[in-house]
Amino acid sequence: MLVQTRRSAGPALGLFACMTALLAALGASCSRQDATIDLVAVGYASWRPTTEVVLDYEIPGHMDSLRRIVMNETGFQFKEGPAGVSFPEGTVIVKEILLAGSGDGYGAGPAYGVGGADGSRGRPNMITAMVKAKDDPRAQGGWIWLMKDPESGMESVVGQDLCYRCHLNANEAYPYADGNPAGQFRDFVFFVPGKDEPAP
Amino acid sequence: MAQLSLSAKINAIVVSTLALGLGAVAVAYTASVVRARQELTSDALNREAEILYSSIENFMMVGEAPVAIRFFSDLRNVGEGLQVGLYRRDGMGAFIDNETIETVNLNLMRPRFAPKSAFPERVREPERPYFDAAAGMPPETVQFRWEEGGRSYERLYRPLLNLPKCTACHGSDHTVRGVIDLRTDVTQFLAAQRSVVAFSAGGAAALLAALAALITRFIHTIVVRPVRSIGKVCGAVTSGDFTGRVEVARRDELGTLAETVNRMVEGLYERYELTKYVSRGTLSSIAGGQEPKRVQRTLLFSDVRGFTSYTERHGADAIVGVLNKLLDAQAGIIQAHGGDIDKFVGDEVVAVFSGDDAPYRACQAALDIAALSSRAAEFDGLMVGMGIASGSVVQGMVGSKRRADFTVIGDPVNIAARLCSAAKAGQTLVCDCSYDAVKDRPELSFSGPYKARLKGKAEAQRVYLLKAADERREA
Repeated sequence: MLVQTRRSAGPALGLFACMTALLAALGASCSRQDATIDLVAVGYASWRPTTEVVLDYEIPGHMDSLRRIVMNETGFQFKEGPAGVSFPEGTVIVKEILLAGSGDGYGAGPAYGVGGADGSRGRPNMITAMVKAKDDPRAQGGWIWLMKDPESGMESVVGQDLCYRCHLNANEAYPYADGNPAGQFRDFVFFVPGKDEPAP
Repeated sequence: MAQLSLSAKINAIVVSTLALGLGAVAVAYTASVVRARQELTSDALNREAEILYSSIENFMMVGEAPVAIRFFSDLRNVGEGLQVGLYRRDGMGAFIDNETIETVNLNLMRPRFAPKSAFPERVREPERPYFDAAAGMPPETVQFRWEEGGRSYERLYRPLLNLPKCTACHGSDHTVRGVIDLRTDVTQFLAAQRSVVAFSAGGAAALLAALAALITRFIHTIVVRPVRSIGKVCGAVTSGDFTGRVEVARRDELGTLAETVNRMVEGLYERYELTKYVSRGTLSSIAGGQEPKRVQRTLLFSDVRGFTSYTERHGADAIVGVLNKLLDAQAGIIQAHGGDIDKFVGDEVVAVFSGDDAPYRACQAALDIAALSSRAAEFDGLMVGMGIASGSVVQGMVGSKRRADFTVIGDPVNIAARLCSAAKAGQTLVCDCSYDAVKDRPELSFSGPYKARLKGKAEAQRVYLLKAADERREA
């Protein structure tokens, strides 16, 4: 009886393949990006504004661009007590930059947001949002700070502390609306509904 | 592709596997060390930047800009490893003139701060494009490696924001007020890091070499050496040496294989010894099939003359000794001429020749056997008579299932036997069929034809007497 011994590189190749797959998986896990997020509802434009003040005055970050701030109904359930103002989980506040401004601010660019004679609004130059999710690892000060691309609708978390550090001033006296003269905790929100009258 | 030996393949697999495994571990270890160093440095820089940021913010809010200036001045020489600086958003060094003081006083509409008359030295230009990223929109904290004077630094640009509460003094027409510049000397860290990398690489290489040597040695002992031993024994058997045995005192697969090979060699040796007692035709029939077939053959019979009376005069040992010597001499001659010993029957030899020149070779063998008479003393005076016949015979296994001979049967066999009986000592009688086949050969000479009555044949047969060499010379 003749027995043919098949000489094969199979085991060695298998070993190399396993190690390569392991390294590839390791590399893939290291380079994996955050999944696409979708925290701002498509119909946010119909939400109620947080203030009636015309926000076209100059501020760091947005300069003199026209801003419009709206909030979902969850946010309007905020509570105010001795410790200050507190917005519930799930609150979403959206700030549209509608009118091109000058200077170095966010939203500078073509005047897409100029309204028509019939009161209709144009397309925003820029959309920013804050979402209350205090246990989310991406949150700063209990809020996730977002930018939403008006063209693609893609959302991205702002990892730097520009938004957070600026809104941190809302918890002490600041130059907007009523100015928070008592330095009350306002949960990082400058325009709390009902507190938008400028200080006398 | 060149064929690699088993040892080379094992070495290659062991070394490549270890290299991959240890290499991956070494790379992972080195990467983790480098990453840990980078993270530690980065964390320290960011923490220090945060402390500075908070310090500046708090000095400014209470209107203590001069304290902030002194604070930065003191920090500049806090230690050799850490250097601190502050840029305005336009890239100029902070506190180098009265521009900021004038702006603040203008925004406050009162001379809150008195202009200075002494200023620190101008600082060097910031590193771009890192600075532009830190002072642009959106402002980003930027960390980068920086080399100067043969030393390496991790450097961090931290944007200082123009917060809402800052706008009263600094105005609201900009978002970034300045950039904090922190640099820490990492030259020693990098040297240590290089040492770790070199040590890891060297250690991995040394470990690889040691493990490869150990594993290869181990595999060589348990696999390669037994395989080679088995191969050596098999090679010796191929060369006809059946004395070798595989010495593997193990109970694993290779031990079992070695035992099997040893048993196989013993069996082969027994079969090899048995081949001495059977004809080549028998051996070839075993390999080529045992079906009977009709073939052309030449038969050579030889028989010792006067052997019966010889046995009566000598003892058994002497008889067997002389007979074996004579039979062995005949067998050697027959095989030398390509004949096959079909059988020994007492003092008789039956040989079969095949092929086109079988009659010629049979006659040559008969002449050489007849020439043994010159060595008559060696065979105690015993001589043989021979008969040669050619023709169609049936060749095949004859006998029972338990014991059979591979032999030939047919009329030429009977004729050769009868001619052998009729031949006198030293004579070879040849049938006319064989004669016709060799009569034109100049090396052979015959006398005859003679008429011979053979047992079993109704008519007298024409036979020829093959002449011995000396007889030819005399003729």
